[in-house]
Amino acid sequence: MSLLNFFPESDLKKTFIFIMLIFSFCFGETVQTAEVKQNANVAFKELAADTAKWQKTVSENTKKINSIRSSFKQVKNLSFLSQQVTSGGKFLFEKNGTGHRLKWQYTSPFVYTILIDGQKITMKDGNKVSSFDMSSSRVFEEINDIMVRSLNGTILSDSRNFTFSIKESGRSLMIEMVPVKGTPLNEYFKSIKMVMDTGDFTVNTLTMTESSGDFTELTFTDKSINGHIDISEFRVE
Amino acid sequence: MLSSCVTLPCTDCSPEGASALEIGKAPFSDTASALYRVSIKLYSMYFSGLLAVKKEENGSFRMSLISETGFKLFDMEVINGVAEMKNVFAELDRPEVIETFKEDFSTLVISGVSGRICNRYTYKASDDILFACPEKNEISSNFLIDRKSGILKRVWKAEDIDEQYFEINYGYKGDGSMTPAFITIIHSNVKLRMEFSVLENK
Repeated sequence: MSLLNFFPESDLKKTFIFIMLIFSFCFGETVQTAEVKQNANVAFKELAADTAKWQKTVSENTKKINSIRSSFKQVKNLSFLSQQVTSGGKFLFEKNGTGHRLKWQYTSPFVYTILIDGQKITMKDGNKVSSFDMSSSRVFEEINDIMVRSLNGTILSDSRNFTFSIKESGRSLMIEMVPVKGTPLNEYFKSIKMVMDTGDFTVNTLTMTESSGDFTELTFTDKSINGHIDISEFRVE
Repeated sequence: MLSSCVTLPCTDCSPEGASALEIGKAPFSDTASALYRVSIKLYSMYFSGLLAVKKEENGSFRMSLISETGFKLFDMEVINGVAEMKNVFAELDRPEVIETFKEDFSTLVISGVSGRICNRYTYKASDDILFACPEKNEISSNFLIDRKSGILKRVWKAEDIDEQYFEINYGYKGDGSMTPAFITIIHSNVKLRMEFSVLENK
């Protein structure tokens, strides 16, 4: 007894061909999906390898930066305002024996200076000078730490608190850092993006996006690297 | 003969009975958006930053207080006298701080007070009019208005004439704009003083 007893030969042939086509399609689809997955896996591995490569390269080169003098422009985007809040001034950074010093000297549209020397913050607003110890504010301490480590590139080794993606674009590295969920910074920042110059491994642009979607963008220009900065320039007068 | 003693909320003023609060020219009444430099003194501590204020088409207000370096201290929305704060910086995220800022900034933009029934007073020596509006717990919110221009000059809260604990003073440039050029907010009981000076006005 065979199938031919129940089905005409022509119908059987058609059914067999139909089944073979379905099988081929499914097999082909499975193969295609597998290929896509394999390609994606390869791409992710390459990206991870690239990221690791650049993390190492940035870390090696930013260690050589001991001081930065530059101009900066700061843009604050608030979603409910049609115009951004723009300010600017001069920026100083220097590594010292105990850590680092930073000075943000705003010159427009207001005059304001903030000096960070180790754990001490000093602010001058007009004639009023005030200081406090950064360790009294954990969040402020972490934000400042992020700023410094972003500027000197050491943040790229902080895999405990951030996930990274790094892409090369001409003479720039486009770096995106996303705070790990559950960390204090994750409650404040959605992401931090840097554009780094691969010529001197300094930061051209730093964009910090808050959880609300509002962001602050800092752009550094007229940079002078490893020049002499007199200690008197780190005073708030 | 019995005589009644009426406590007045002002010196050298005369009561004129109950009346609906009328502020001819309220602060921010013609403002689209404004940016202020802010300085805050709390006891011996000093802070500064920027306050962005925007008046929406429906009369509500949106505000953000940020540090000069761009860090958000809080966002606030005030609708009909009710303030809601969001995205509050961790160090400020305490109930007493939040309640103080909510009350201060909703009063600052004179939200939700129009038409309230208050006691009206006039002054003998000036053209000012005072509306003393009862609040809870024997506190009154007092609005000092220039009769001729209709401009609100000052707001204060007090239990009694000698027990003022909160005030806001507005200063204008004199160009007709109702965006205050200068504002001070003073809390007498907690040694808190905030000063605002306008940077941009649109």
